[in-house]
Amino acid sequence: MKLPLQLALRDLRGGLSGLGLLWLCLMVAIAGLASVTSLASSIDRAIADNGRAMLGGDLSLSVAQRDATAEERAAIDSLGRSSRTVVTRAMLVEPGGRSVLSELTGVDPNWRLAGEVEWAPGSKRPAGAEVAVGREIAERLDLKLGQQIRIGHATYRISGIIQKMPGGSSFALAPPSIVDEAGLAMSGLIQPGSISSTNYRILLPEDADAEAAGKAFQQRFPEGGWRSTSRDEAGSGTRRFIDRLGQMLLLVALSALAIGGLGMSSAAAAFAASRHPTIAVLKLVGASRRTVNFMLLAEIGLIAATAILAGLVIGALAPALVGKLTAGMLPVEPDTSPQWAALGKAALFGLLISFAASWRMIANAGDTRPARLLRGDVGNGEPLRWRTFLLPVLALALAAAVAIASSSDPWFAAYGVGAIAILCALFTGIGWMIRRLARGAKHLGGPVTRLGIAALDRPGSATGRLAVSLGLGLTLLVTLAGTASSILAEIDTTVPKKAPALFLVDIPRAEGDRFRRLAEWEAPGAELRLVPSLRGPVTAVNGVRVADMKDIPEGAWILRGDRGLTFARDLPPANRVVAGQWWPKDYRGPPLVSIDVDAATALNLKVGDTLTVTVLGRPIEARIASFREIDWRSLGFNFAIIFAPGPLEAAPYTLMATVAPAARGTTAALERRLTEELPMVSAIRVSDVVAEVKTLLESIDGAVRIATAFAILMGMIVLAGSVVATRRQRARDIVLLRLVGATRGEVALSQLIEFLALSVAVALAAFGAGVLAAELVVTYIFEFPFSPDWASLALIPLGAVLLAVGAAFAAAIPALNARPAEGLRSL
Amino acid sequence: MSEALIDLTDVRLTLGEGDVRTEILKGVSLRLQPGESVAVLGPSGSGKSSLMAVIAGLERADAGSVRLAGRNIGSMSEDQLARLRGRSLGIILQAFHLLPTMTALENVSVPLELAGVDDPRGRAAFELEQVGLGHRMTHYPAQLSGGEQQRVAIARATAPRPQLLLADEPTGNLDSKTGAAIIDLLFERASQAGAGLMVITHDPAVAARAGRTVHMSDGDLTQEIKSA
Repeated sequence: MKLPLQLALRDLRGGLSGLGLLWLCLMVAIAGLASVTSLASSIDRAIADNGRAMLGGDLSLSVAQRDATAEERAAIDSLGRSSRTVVTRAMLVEPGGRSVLSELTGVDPNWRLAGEVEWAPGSKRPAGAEVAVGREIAERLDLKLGQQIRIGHATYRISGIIQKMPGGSSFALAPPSIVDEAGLAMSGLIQPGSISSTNYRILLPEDADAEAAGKAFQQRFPEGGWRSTSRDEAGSGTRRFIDRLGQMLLLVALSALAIGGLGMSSAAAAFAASRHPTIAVLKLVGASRRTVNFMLLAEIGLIAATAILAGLVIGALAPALVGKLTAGMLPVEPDTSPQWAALGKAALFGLLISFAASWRMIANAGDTRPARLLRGDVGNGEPLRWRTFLLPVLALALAAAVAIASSSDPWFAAYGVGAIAILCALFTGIGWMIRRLARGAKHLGGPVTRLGIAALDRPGSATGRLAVSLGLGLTLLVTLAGTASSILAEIDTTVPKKAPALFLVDIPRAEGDRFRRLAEWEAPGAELRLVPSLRGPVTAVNGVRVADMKDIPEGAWILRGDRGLTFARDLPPANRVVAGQWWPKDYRGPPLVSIDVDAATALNLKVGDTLTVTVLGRPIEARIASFREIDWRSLGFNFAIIFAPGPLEAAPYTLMATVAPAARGTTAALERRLTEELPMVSAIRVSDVVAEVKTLLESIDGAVRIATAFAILMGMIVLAGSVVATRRQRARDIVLLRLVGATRGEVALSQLIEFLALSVAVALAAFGAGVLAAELVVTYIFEFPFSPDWASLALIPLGAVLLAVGAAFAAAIPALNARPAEGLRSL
Repeated sequence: MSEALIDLTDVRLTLGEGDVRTEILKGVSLRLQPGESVAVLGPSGSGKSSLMAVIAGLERADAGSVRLAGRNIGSMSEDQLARLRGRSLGIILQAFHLLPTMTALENVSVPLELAGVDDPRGRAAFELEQVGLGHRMTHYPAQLSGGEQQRVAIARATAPRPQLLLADEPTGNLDSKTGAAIIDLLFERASQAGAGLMVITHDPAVAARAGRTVHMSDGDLTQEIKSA
């Protein structure tokens, strides 16, 4: 092994001969891949490491709509030092009458046990008739320290502005506000049945197992409806989101690596060709195939190793960079220390792809007889040997297996890898078709056109590889843009039409009629819907306690946390019974419940099974009477769990309402009246929700598009690199054309015809494939109508053609500029 | 009678495919004894270089038998042929074919390193001294004159102490004065090493230096002349 390495080092003194492109492709691809894997891992690590600060303690125990009983409180206090907070939603009204929805928390003197709140200068913790409001509230209502605002039945002075809550993100429909316990009582918002939760954060001894402590508490009070979150589970929703986004980005980065692999394979071919004289001489003086193979492998390996290293350095810096760019959008700052496992994974992909891309060229060069190498008679009609294909195929299979096995969602990864493979096959076929067409058309037109078209089918032409490298990235971008623009269009146009303008919660049961009158007066002709509202967790399924369940299935979200509950005599609109029977209007029997069919399927439930829901600390076991298919897109009140009238009617509940104004009507007057007459009612504007959702979607779309643009950039590098690699052949063609009288313009035109024909054909195919894929995703996965923004979608292939032709042309300039005399000397 | 160093019997070679398929060697038979020298004389395209390529195992004969020092090279694998070349053959080509990225010393030491010889650099240095290039060891091929490059090639060929030296038009790229010096060196080194020598040439003066001369024409050996 020492000798081939020495030979490799000596040989590399002569320059990289094509390996520069390999280095660039690999470095850029690994930088992208390592950035994505590092970033996902660093955010995950940061959330995991900051669990205590985000949660505000080691363990959080929460219960809906009630306080802990004396026995429960004693049990909490026995665990460690605790802090009690009560969270509800409230309208904050400024003196001018403008209002904003906020998540209002009443905190005790121990708050907060862990995690520092970031205050604006001059802020002070609120006491009594004082409130601290989130920065977003202050900005929206133009509030300053010392000003007065109304919450519920009381008026407060603003004592503090919260810049950032630990674990809070900028995506929040209801920004936070804080009062102390006395302040919360003054508001009069906490009434029996109003939507609130009481949370106890506990600091446990250093070596205590927070999750076990939480479970033990739940098991001690199984009917209490307690929800437990340990510091390790804090931010689990964000972690799931980042994980999913990370997986999408990883697939895009893997596509970029696949594209880069094609460039690397072109580069390896050019390199092996440039080494034929050296290989011939080495074989003349006794070098075996093994020695030659190892020497070439060592040369490519050395270059690849430095490229991977450079890519990894960029990837390792990505979390710090993205942390700066997304400051405040994420609940935590990404952990900026190197994510070794993530970087190792990227390096492994890099090694496998470099090997797969270059082995065939290495093996062929090693196998070729020296006499052929000396004659320069190599590369044309090389027989296909299984030995040269087997190892690259194994390397690719191993890379795919690692991508799938290391994913948190192997099916998603498998579909993604499969899609990349299918697209590669598709564009290989398109490349083959372009060559066939070029072969058929190469006698058409004048010499300039003929030369341009013939170049697509010349021996050793990279048309097939270029078709894949341009097509893959472009298809991904068209698919993503088509999907995103369709979804955003649906949200923009359909949601405001279908959804009511206003959701109202915490309307006291006794004020239902007053609310109706106000609504009819202030929003005449508006469509009103009022439903009873309660909250509570599902605590048992068929008698098995949820607290005792080891794993909660993916689709069984109804078992996580408190659920909104209601009871109804009639089947609500946009609901359809798909199994069992809806109860009769006058049903007065044992508790019955109807649940969402998807949740039922995830839990493997049957009609007749039982579900126990704890409301205000009282467990209610109900028999499942029916499963419902819910059209969630109807955007009204949709409850996964609906009770038959009876048991819940006696519980203290509030009402929820939706208001859909008549055509051209607004709800602004009603909102203002409600803050005066029914200040305990919280209003959620659909336009605010839509804006929040759009911001979130646009951020995701932006991140994925940046990654995809990177895949396209990779394709451009491959294209330009391939043009550079064929510069000798191009220079010869150009010199011969100019010798026989072609002008520079005509010569340039022949190059333009080649690049244009290739990129237009590939762009059209990619556009078709991308639109088809987007339509399938939008129609079958999101179940939305497919209505992309065609104009901006059409710009993508157009832009890609311009970019591709530009990149290829720039790469061809040295050949175009060569003077005939210079060119002839080097022929 | 000792075993022949080269023993070719009715060797045939065809190159190219389809319409351009050409019969290059048409039943060549030739023997060379150890330590003997032979010149192959003939016009361009007569098949001289192909004959050498077959003897060196660079091309495989389509028919006939090629034996080198008693071994049938027709049945050897590419790697066995490479080892045979590394240990038993020294090849010198018209275009020198030195490795451009290696110094003169490294070029000469490569076959010794490949053969696993002890102190390859010391021996390579010795060989370069022998061809008069002791002062040019660290120079790269591009920094050497044509004659110097061919001396390096001769040193590289003789360094592993081969049984046979094959030289294909060794003076073809050199002026006549330098060429004469190279031919002197080649015969001198072959005789010092006791190696057999086969020189391909179209120069009768070069051929006259060999123990015997064979003429090649249209893919076959036509006549053989013993030198005086």
